[in-house]
Amino acid sequence: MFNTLPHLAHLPAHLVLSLGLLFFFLGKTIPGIKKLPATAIFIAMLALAAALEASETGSHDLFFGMVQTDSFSRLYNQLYFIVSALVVVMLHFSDEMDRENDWENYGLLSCLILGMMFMTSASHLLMAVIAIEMVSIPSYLLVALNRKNPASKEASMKYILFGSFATGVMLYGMSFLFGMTGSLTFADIWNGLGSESVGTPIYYLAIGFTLAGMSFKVAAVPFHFWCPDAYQAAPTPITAFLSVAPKVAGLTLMMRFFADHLPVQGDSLTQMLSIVAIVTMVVGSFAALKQTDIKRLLAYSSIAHAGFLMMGVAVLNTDGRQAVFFYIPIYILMNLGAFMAIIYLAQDHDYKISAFNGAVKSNPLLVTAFAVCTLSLAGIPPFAGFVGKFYLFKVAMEKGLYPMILAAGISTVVSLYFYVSLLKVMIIDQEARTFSPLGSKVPVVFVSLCALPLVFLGLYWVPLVNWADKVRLFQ
Amino acid sequence: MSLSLVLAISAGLFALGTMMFVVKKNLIAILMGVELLMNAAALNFMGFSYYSPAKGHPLDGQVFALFVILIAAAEAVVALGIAIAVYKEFGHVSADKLSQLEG
Repeated sequence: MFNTLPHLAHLPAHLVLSLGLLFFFLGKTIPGIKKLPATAIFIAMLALAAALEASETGSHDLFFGMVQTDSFSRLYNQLYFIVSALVVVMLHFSDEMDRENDWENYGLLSCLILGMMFMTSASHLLMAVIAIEMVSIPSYLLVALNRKNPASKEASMKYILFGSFATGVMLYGMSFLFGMTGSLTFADIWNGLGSESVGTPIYYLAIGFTLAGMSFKVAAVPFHFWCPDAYQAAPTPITAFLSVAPKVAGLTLMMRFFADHLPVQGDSLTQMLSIVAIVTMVVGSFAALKQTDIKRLLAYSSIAHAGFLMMGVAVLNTDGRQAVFFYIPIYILMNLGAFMAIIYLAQDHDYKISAFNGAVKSNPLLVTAFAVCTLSLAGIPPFAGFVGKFYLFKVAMEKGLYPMILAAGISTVVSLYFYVSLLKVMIIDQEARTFSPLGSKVPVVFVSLCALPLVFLGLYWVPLVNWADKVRLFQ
Repeated sequence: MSLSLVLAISAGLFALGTMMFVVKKNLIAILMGVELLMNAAALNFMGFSYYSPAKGHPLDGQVFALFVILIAAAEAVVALGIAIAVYKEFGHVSADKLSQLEG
């Protein structure tokens, strides 16, 4: 008999989320429970999970090498809890989701967060597949839940078709990895792929197909087609969530998957990953140029950012991992801030860019904060986005990946154009309509609280670098 | 039966599935293509596990194949549910006519 309790003791936050999942899906059937405030319970659950995760120490190999918890997984898990709590606040100020379904929505979000935590901790192909599915399936459903936009059903359908295709391709690739090495744990796979198999077609096919499922979660080219549609039609808070959290989870899975590679495989893997990164950056930034819908524009901007973050993955070393983690809190702040501002400014769910003409006249503070987030996304110096991009460029430069740096430079310049033209519409153009002031001041505070750290971290980023130092090694 | 025959059959299934995904216009038919992809992967796992079992873990491949079937079922449930929602909203399940979101 195998005793699971010592293993479960190292996964307290995962247990909290699992219980939360059951509670939100089944709790409604118990009479009287329905009256409890679901939002407060969800936030308390996230806080408890974050506290438990922060109190853990050491590196543990659990469940026969299926799951590994270490400083890497703990830091990323805490980021997931922070993002989720912020998105719950955003949900509160959006009327796109049915508030009566709060219980089910939070149940789906719990399942999604649990899946992301397992993606970050997985060290076995089976665990990786199940974690990816645990993230994908709730995302399909959450995208379809926009009651203000009938196209959300269409977007969800496209999302699910591309998603299951990517999963199928990934499973096929994994079956070849299994066949070539006879093992499923990440470390054994790389040990099994000796120097005689490196560079053979089947080697590239197996790893490339396995990478497909992960790049679908990151929305990297060529698995990005679902992204603009899903982001445009999903409820805006869910769009903000999807543009940050599952993307980060996919990157962490990639980093852990490739971390144990042998030196002889290093060059071929860097080559594959940098091709994906280059194509993603270029396609993301050029396709954004002709967008007229602001959510679609931010979707392409998030594709380009996935490419930037892939630069840090492609170098396959500890500096790369640190640079990726350094950029992620900054990315979270600027993306969530921008989306919150859009929720507040949009009227009648019209997200055409032209509908935001002259928004600065009626909402000066909000548009200023939005401008900080946008300029930071573009990577303009005084803001934190510049520092984050600088570190990613630096690790790529040290590795000598010059084509990738060139592509990143071009992509940065092109993306500057559409970010600035977005700001021009909001600030310089004449007001097209009157912006009725909304009752609550909380969204303005929310966006300002996203923008202020961006300015601060752009000038003094030492605390963040020190924090990111912990993800260098899996310990 | 040999391992190469199993691999050939699964490669055929994979090619058929990919072709259905690209060529078919009906959402349900596209889903059937995706199921073929998953089954190709499951067949591969079975073949590898039967002809060259992993040392120490001889059942790894077969357990993985079971999980592949499970994942395919879970995705099919959600996909068909969304397909019903699409049918209620638009009155058809044709991929060509779903073109509200483009740009």
